Amino acid sequence: MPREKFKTLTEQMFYILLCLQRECQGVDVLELARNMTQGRVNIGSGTLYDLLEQFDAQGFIRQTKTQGRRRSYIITEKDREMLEKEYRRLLAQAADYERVLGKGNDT
Amino acid sequence: MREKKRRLELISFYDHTGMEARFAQMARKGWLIEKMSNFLWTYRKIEPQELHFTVSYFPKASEFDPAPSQEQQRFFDFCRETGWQPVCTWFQMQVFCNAQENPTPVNTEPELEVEALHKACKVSFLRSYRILFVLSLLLSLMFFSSLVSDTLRLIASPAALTFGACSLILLVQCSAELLSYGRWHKRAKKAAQYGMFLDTPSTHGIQKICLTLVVLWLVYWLVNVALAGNCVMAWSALFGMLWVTSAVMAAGAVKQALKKARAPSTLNRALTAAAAFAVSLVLMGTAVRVGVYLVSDLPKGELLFETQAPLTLSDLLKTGGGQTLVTVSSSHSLLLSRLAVTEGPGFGQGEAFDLPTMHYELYGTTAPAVYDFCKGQLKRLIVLSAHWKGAMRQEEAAPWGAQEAWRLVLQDGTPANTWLLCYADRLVRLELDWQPTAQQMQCVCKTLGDRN
Repeated sequence: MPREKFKTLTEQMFYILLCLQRECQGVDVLELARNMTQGRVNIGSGTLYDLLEQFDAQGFIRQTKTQGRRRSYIITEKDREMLEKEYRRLLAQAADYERVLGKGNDT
Repeated sequence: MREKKRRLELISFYDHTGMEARFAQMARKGWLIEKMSNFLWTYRKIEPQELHFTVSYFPKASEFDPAPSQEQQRFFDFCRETGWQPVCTWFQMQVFCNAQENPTPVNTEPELEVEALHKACKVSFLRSYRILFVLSLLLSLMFFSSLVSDTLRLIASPAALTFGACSLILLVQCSAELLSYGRWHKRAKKAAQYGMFLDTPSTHGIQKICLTLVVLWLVYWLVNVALAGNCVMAWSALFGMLWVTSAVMAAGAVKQALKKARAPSTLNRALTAAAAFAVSLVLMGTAVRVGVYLVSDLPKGELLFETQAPLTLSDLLKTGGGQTLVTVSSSHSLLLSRLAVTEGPGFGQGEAFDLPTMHYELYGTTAPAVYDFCKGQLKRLIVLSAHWKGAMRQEEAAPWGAQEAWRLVLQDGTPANTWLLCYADRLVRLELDWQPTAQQMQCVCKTLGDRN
């Protein structure tokens, strides 16, 4: 069954939105995401471009300033809610994992 | 040592996997892609090296854009951040190369990649191939219809046979491309949901076969024109090639000139289409003008291209008066020559249904196998012309001076005035609307029968 767009976030979407908690230029997200995850998450430059365009169109982020071709973004309230929702979903998944396979190993 | 190389690359628009592999292979040999076009791709000389390539699709781009748009430039800036340098663009395609050892790919989300590729395909590839598919399907159906109902005319006409065959080849090519893409897109969307990339399929093999067949058919056509054709065929072939080449070159020249002049893409698209149309119109007008001039310059009664009707109604009926309309068509190929003549009442003739009409077709061939094939086909086609409500009956051939004579007999037993006359090296299909006399049969033999 196809996943509804942005209903759940992929790892790359999650980290892009997380990086934009503070205002920054779009291209800087590449480095931020890599540093934040100790190199585990490498976002493709083309993917970053496409997602920024789509997030902007959906209202998850907004442009704050434009310097030549460089644009800066910050998340909107809509995005904060979606991130929070995604965070809770990931926590719930982790909790289920611990319940079944983790600390409750005596099952 | 040459600095540029041009190659014909048989790679589909959507086959970015194939393109990336080809560019990497060429870079290892010391050639970097510089420019892509519908016909040839241009490479320039570089030091042989390992380069990674990515072909990305930007749906908003157009071949008529004077330069990469601001949005595309932004996209290029993003890619440069990870070492991907823009190399060239073509339609919605953008080619990047990276000299790093393990570069982060430009696209890391398969769903986005499939989506962008599909949007780009909808703008160019799918639209044009669907139109071509419909056109080639119609032409192929017409070709098959002619093959069934007018087989010999096709064999005698290298142009018609070549055109029909090429329509069929185009249909196969379009079908293969559309099916290949459709299948891949469906599977790629499914794979993307699980975070997997799917390599694009290659139709290189089919493209190569189709191209080879087209070239062979064109060679067949040109050989026939050179060896068996008359000056009409030669001039028609030359004119046809000039027409197509001129229209394509005019469109290309106008497009490039307007791109250099930074004209907006919508204006460029409109003027390019107009240029192709105008050139076609001018050439068509020139051909008509030349034709009219040549014909009007002839003495009265003389035909332009030496194709005269060997047998006329006045030969058979010995009538002197009355204006009849004679239409003659001829075609020649290495296998078969065909002459078809229809004579009947002219325009403005009163009481036209009282006046006789005649139609005959003359087929000449030197190959026994072709002769036998033609004989079989003519019998079939004559019965087909009676909507299968009849059969061919063999009759006395001596009155016709022929080796064999066959007559169409209708289902109710009525003999029709349609004959198939078999001479040594030619076949005659004759349709009259009266029963000929012995004298008239001899006249047919004398004018249409064996040369010797």
